[in-house]
Amino acid sequence: MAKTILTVDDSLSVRQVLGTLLKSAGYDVLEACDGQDALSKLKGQKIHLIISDVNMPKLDGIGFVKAVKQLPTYKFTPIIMLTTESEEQKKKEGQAAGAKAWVVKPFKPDQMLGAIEKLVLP
Amino acid sequence: MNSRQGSNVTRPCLYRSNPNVFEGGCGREMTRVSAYYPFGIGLLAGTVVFALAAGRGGVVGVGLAFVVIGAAATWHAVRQLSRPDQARPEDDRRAASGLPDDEHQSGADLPGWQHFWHQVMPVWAGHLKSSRSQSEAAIGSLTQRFSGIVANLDRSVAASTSAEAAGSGNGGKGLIEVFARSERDLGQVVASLTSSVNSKAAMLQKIQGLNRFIRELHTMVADVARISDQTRLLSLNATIEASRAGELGRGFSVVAGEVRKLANLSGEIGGRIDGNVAVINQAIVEACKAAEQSVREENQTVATSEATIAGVLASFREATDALVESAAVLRNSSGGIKAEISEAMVQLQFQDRVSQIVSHLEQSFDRFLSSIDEQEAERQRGSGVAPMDPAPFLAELRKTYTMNEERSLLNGSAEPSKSAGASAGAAASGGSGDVTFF
Repeated sequence: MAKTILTVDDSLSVRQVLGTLLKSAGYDVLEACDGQDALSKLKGQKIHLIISDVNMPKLDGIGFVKAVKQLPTYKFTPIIMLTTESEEQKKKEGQAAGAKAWVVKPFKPDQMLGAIEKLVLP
Repeated sequence: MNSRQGSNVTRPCLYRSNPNVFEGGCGREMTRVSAYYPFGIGLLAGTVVFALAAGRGGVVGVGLAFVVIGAAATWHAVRQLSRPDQARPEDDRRAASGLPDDEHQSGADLPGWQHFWHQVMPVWAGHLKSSRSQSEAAIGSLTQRFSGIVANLDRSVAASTSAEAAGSGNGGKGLIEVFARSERDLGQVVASLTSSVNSKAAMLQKIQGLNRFIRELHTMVADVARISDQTRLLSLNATIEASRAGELGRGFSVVAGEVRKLANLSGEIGGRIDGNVAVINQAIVEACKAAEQSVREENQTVATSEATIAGVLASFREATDALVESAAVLRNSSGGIKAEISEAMVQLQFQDRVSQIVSHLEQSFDRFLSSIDEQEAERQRGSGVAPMDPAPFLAELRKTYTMNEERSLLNGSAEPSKSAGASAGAAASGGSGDVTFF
């Protein structure tokens, strides 16, 4: 059974690029345009991994990760931050919130898929 | 407020020779500002080019580049104007001479500048916002179409693979499996025909074996005829001898006559048997001829069928091989095209970065207007108006930045063109594509 990945980004093009890449790799994909939208998409779903942007309207990536870690169902779901931010301080914020990896945009497909394979449990 | 209203209103001096005291009009700046009009025009022209390019599905990046370069140049102009310590020599000379300049005489002032920027900046910001929106929509549409193409290619390759594949994985519907099954079935048909022909040949041999019995019957009939002749001869001799015996031989003569009759009768029966055997023999010969003809024809039919089936199977195999080869070529080509499109889609991530840069530029426009408002508020409170200090402004701008190339540009450690190239090409600056695991 294919694993499901939730992609969270306010950029439509980034969501579509990610969606195409992940579907080609055999994953099912759900999309959300910000942190709030993503939290609503989590309900009633079985999500195996989350890829989230940091700078988003309504609820940013760090706030979203913190909120996800409060949900019993998704407490241990791995989260990858995908962002243009590359400052160490921001990375530390992501790590403190509960993210498992930090990928700087623009991502390279091989690296992104490698990170996902490493984090998604078989 | 019109910049030329009231001569008692102090004019904003974003540039001046003495940084501590506001000295009134600075009409010189009009000359300097006018020098930057081309950049503003460049910004507007870039916006128009961008809109046209996006509308026609053309090269959006070119228009966007115009917009960004125009906006950057304009911002550069604003920064130059706001520096208090970079007076031009002719400005200093003019200030030292105490001569008023033309613009001062015309009554330009700080509220006038405030009015000017409040009118112009939102227009520029609107153009940038519009450019960003159009860029986002166009790139979004492009990635959606690319995504659709990739999905269609996936479906085509899957269908082609399914049609070509051996039957084990898909219920035996694959082309190769259908061919193998047809070959097996047709082989069984040919085997059945061959078996039938062989049975007929065996039956023919058995019929031909009856000839031996016919020959034996002929021999037996000949034996019967010879015995009949000898018996008749013997009865004739007996009759002769009986007539010599006279009256005593009369009875014997009767017996001899009866024996002759029996001999004749057996001779006739032998003849009839011979006739019937001949008829049977003829029937057997004809049956054998018919059977031989049938076997020959069936052998010919089987041979023709085998050749036809072999020909059909060869053609079918040729077609199958061509289809399989074509499917493999299609699959490889599709895979290549898909990889190319996927790579192209990955490159489209530049839009997200450009969008963020433009968004930060919009924010800095707002901040600039706020700074002008603050300066005007200070002026209205009657306090000496300090020159606009770029440091806190830039520090605040820096806080909005997310990319290293933006920070590098601000620090002056990277050329804008190189930075832009890095964001498009991805990796050179800012750790693009880096993965950090926690």
